Amino acid sequence: MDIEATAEQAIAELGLGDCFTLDALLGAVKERRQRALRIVELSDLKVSDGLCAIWLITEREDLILHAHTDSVLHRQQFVLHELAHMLLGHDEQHACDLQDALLPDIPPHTRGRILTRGDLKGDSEIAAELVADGLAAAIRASAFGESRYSEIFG
Amino acid sequence: MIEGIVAVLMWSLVGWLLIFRRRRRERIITYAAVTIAIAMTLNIDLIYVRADAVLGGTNIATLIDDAALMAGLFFLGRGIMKAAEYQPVPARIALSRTALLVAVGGLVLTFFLIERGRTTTLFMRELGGQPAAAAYSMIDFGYCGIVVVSMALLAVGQLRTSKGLNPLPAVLVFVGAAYGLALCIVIYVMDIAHLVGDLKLISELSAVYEPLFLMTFILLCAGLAAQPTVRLFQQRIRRVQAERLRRQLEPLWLRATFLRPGLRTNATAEDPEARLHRTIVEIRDAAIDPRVSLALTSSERVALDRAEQHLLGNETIGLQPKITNVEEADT
Repeated sequence: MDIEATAEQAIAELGLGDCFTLDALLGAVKERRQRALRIVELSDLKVSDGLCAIWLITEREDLILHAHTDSVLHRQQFVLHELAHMLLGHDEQHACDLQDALLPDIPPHTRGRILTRGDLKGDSEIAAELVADGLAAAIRASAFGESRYSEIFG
Repeated sequence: MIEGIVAVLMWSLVGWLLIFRRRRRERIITYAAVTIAIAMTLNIDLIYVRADAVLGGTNIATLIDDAALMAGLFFLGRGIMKAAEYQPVPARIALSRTALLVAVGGLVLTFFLIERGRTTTLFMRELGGQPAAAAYSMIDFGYCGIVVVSMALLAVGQLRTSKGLNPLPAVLVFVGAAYGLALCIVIYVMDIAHLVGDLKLISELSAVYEPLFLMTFILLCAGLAAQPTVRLFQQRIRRVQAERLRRQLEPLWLRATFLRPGLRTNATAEDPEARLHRTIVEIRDAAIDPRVSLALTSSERVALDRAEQHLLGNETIGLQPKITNVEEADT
């Protein structure tokens, strides 16, 4: 399956249709993963490697840490990209060892794996960004006043 | 005559939905329209007589016709349930597969209890005095009543939350459903009047039956056709705006992606809003990346903000997707 088809399937498997709010998406992800989900803006997150967001998997919860940006849309994209990694099940496939450099204060026993949104290189990053774009389109449809009603009847 | 008009209306709706909803993944309303159109076509005297002759000339075509109508209403009911934000248990039961099976079972059972005789295009007028025929009709229009009431309630919910042109289709659907409910009530009263032999009441109600029948279909078809039309119209306007905003940002985006390559994909090529979204994200990515230096002029910042507000829906209805459970922290 190509990356675009993988991304489409990941969104379809959510079962939320073509139009939903960010809150509905967060609820669906939490339910699917059966874990708490927290989103934290880190004003001092080092963006030296083009890094914008991190998904940290601790024993108890999924934690999305993202850099500060003045743009609502950009912040939403950071979060959606990390949610996309969750939907694509990338925690089972990938891990990276940026914890020590980026999050020196987090004790090792609370850490799981982390995935980052930085440069869009590699299939998993591209797939996550495509899913994020698809999720953004559904949230946009909701913001434009579309609803389940217009999805079914419109 | 009136059956012919209704059949033409239904097939026009089918054509309209096939054209205006051709790119939509959800097709249940099209299935409903096709099934109801088949039922209404079979209801035309000329077609009914020929079809029933093929089936043995014992009015079996009436059962097929009414079962097709029920199936169409079932699809409509499933669409209503999918569209509804709130799905009360009674509605879920009434519009379920089980309810359809029970209703069709009841229809079949009562149908075969009717002494039907040879083919007639005046089925209920000639046979409505039989209790089984009255029960048959009541099951048929009872199911119909449940679906039109659900439709009316859904339309009211939509009216409460929609703005701009969006209430128009919902108003049409609501009024059409109200006519449909009135039609079901009239048929129930006619069935009872037939049983007790009140021919005067039947004659009086017959005068309103045809106008109610016609108005129900005209209004429901108009409402169901108007919804995708309004959506497409609004989408077209938004897309033109999105493309205009994207073109304004194109020189900036080219500079940004030269410094920090963006996503190379065809996934967003056809949708101007998706392309604008990607344009904004890639400019913003480059703007905060300390490894590259992307300078924005004040007019570029204004254009970027305007484009972003457009995608957030702030230009149209004042909504803004917010990340509500964000905490702020320092490393």
